[in-house]
Amino acid sequence: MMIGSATAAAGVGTPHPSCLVLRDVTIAYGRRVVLAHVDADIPRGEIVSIVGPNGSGKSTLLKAIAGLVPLAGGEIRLFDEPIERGRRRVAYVPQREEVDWAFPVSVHDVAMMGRYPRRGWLRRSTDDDRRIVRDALDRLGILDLSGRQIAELSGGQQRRTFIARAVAQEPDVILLDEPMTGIDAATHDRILELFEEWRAEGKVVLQATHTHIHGGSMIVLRRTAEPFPADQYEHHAAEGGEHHAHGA
Amino acid sequence: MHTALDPLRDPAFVRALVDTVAVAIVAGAVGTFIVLRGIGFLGDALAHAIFPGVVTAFLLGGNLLVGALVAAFAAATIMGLLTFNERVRDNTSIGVIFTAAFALGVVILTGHAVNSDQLEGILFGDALGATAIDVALTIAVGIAVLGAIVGLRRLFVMASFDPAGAHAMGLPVVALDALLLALTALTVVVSFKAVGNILVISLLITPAATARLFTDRLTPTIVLAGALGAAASVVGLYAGYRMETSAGGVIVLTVTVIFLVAWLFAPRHGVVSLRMARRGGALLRSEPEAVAEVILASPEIRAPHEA
Repeated sequence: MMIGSATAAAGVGTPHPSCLVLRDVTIAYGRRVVLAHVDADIPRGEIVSIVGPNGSGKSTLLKAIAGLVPLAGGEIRLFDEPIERGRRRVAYVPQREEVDWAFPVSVHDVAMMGRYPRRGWLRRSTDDDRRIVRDALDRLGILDLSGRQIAELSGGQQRRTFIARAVAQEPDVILLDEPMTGIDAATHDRILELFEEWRAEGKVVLQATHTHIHGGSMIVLRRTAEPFPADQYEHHAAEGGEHHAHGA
Repeated sequence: MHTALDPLRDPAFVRALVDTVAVAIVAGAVGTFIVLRGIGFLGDALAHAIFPGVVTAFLLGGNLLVGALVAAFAAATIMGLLTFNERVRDNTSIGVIFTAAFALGVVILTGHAVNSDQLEGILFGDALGATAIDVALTIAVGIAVLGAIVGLRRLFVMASFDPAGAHAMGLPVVALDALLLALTALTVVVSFKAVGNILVISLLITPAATARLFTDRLTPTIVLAGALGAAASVVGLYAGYRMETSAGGVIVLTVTVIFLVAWLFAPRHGVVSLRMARRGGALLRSEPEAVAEVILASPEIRAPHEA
């Protein structure tokens, strides 16, 4: 059995009230406990990289926050409410492999999906929705691709489309699963800029990643079967704030 | 007997035509979403699983539609429940249940003296035997199914295209899947006069799959799928009427031939069309999306053949 455990280095001791709170979060697939005892208090404006080796449960933790895998224990709260009540305030950008790219939808269609939870599932889109979608596409630099079918896009353009959907949703929490994988340098740089803009807007951003953002917060996952990669993260934890590990 | 007459003067033929075309249009719309969701096998299973319900209703002298509906929902529920054990994949539970349901129908049938024509009608359709009530029921259910599909199409698209993202936003993905299955079951049930419970799968899957070869857009896919099914229905019914052969069988063969031709020759996604575009140089003449400029750092490796 393999259990990951987490180190929360996110926003401990900051004056802001917590926005996203993970309390003793434990996730299991069948009888296999994948990740146990994750605690984190994340305030607004925090960019958190979930890092760790393959199989340590980075995507799983992100999916748990997105409500895609059930918790075996613990709870996740958003603005002091169970996160289930605030699903529309949470945007999720999936990994490339999880989307059917041959699907007959346009870039505009995908971004417009971000508006559904806000305006109600069965309402027609308003001028307001169209303006927000336009702005989101513009912000990602893909307004000129608006009518393009997603099958015709490059990897970077596809990622931008999904992030535009997240922007159009006007969320408080943005979850990105490996956002930097399989994209071009320009898209990579644009996403880094967006992280800074989101920080300024007071959004909480969590990304599952192999490469953490320098200076940002981290949730470090490790496999219990392997030694903690102290050298790799020590210097960062020292500058990033208090740092405590939980045994599994 | 019929051949001397214009078939449109025969009320039975007109009823069959209306019934079958209505089924084809509804099946095209529902089928588009089945194909996009990638659950063609599930649709097939549902059609087979309806058989014991129809047989039981038939033997009890009850309403075949009610029997079919009960069987469809029972089978879909059992198939869904079986997948709660993570060792049993969706396709496995489907494979287990639909054959078992079909076998149950066969066992129920044996030992009862059944007119084989009537049995054939259930399985393979009996369009010319459709009564006015059958046609009215098909149209009423068809409008309801079509209304649900068109009204909720954006949500169906979102749930099939990116289930994880949709779920994270709070869209009830599982409920939408269940609804799509229920709409499939209803389509299968009302099609049993037109083409029969087994052959209807062809009207659900094949026209939608064909339309996907012609267009990358959703609404044209739905419309084209319905139109192809309807056209094949007309061909099949005329053939059935004139040649005294199975109308349902000819309808299925017609949509299959159209699919195969499209697979080869559809302008954008046909295999032969793509080959010909490549060979004819059409690709070389079209405007490229990007061009390359090569900048080499080491001049000595620029032209090895000149060395």
